[in-house]
Amino acid sequence: MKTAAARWLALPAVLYLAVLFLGPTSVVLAYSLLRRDIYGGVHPEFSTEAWRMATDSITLGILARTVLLSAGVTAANLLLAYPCAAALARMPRERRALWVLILTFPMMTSLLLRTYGWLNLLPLAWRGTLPGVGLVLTCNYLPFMVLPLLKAYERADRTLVLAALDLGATPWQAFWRVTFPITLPGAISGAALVFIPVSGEYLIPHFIGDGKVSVAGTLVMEWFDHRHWPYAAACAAWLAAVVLVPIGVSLVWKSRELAAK
Amino acid sequence: MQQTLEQISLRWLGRAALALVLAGMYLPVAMTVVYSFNESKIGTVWTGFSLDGYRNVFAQEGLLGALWASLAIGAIASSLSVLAGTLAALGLSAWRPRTRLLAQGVIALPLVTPDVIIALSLAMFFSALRLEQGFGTVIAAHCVFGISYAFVVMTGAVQDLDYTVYSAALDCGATPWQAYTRVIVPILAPSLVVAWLFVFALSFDDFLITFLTKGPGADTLPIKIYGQMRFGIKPETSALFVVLFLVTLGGALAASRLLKPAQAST
Repeated sequence: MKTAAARWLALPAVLYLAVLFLGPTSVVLAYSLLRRDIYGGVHPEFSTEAWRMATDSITLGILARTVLLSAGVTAANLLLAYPCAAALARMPRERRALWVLILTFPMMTSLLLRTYGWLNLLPLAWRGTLPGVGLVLTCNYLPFMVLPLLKAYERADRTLVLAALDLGATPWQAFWRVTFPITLPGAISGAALVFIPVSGEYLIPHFIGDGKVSVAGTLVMEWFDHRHWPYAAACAAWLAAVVLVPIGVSLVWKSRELAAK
Repeated sequence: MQQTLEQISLRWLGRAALALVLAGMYLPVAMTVVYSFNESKIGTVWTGFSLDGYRNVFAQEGLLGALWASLAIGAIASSLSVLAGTLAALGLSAWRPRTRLLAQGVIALPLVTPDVIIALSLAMFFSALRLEQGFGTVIAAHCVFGISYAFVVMTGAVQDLDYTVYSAALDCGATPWQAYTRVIVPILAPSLVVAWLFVFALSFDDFLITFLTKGPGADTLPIKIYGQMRFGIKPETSALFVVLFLVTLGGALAASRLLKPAQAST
């Protein structure tokens, strides 16, 4: 509504998130710089102990594993979702809508029960391994990659690909030189929708990893549970940095691109 | 000829990918269905076929209570979130571009933050404020991601809104309130329903944020299932989710039936 009075309508949401999102994240940063209280919580006393722990080789190794796992899951999702989205895009409208419903419907069931199902489906040798965790994560996040890609395919002008094929491009060339650049925005938003939640995933690494696969999500939860709140807070801050840096870089890149036009 | 051969192989690649995706999505769901018919009370091993899981759905201690807690928290958090998110989507269009961008960023931040960070920060925040945790804190926590999602869905709907109908209503003598409730809200209704269902589904299935912000007593279904994971999901729990799955599927099909004639007539 373009009236001055309507301006105030946005205030509740903005204030709510300023208090209940920015507030809590500042508390996390502050807690990471305080001393641990063994009974939970913190002593109001400055200490760099948590950050000294959070910059040791063990913590950094776990963070590196988290980034590797998230990147691997994102790549596997791209690899599977591209041919899938292409196949869906070729379908007639009605059938495509039905397929989208079929593909997304399992998301309506409990994540915990699906994880339990995987626990009993996976060969025992895969439990407690990084590839096993990666496999289950990949399957779990497929719709988040397929849907943005499908949207990009729907927006793309299909005649461009046909023109490329007519002009003698092989399907492979037509994909890399025409389809891929046009659908790249879909791939990027899909990658963000997969990478970000996977990097903080707790349930799947916890149960499929069987306590043997430590990633950022399990690390934060374990140390919260062990009542070392400053260290848990420092690890959460690390994770936020890992996620927010690529987002920040892509934003800068995007605004530069806009400025160049 | 070589072209068509490559196209045929491409088509098969697409079908194979689709089949893999379907398998990845439906295999774990199929396991839930299988375990709902398990005779064993513990559920880690298959001992035989039985309908007891369905017969005793609400005989399992706490399962009905957890279902009610989940439904209530989901309904309240989703309603509050959609209200605040919609008002924000409507109101922000009147803000100056720069402050609007900043406000949009603040509202959308929870979407690009992993759940574990939201969960931990809220737990520490509530503890720093010495707030007693329970239903209230869980609902407050769910509204954090709820408002974000509702805002994004409703911003899309508000952008498509034709403001001339609002002015037309005013010209025809409606008060701003009447113009809102009789013109704007009905136009936004389908998006409001989508946003509500979306936030409800997220709240209903949330584990991490609930786990760290709940006090004693606010045990939702995911919390209940988490407790059973180590020693085996009980058949009644699986049965409840099979029933919920069928109810949702029936609802979705009925909704698409109801919406179809409406679309055909326009």
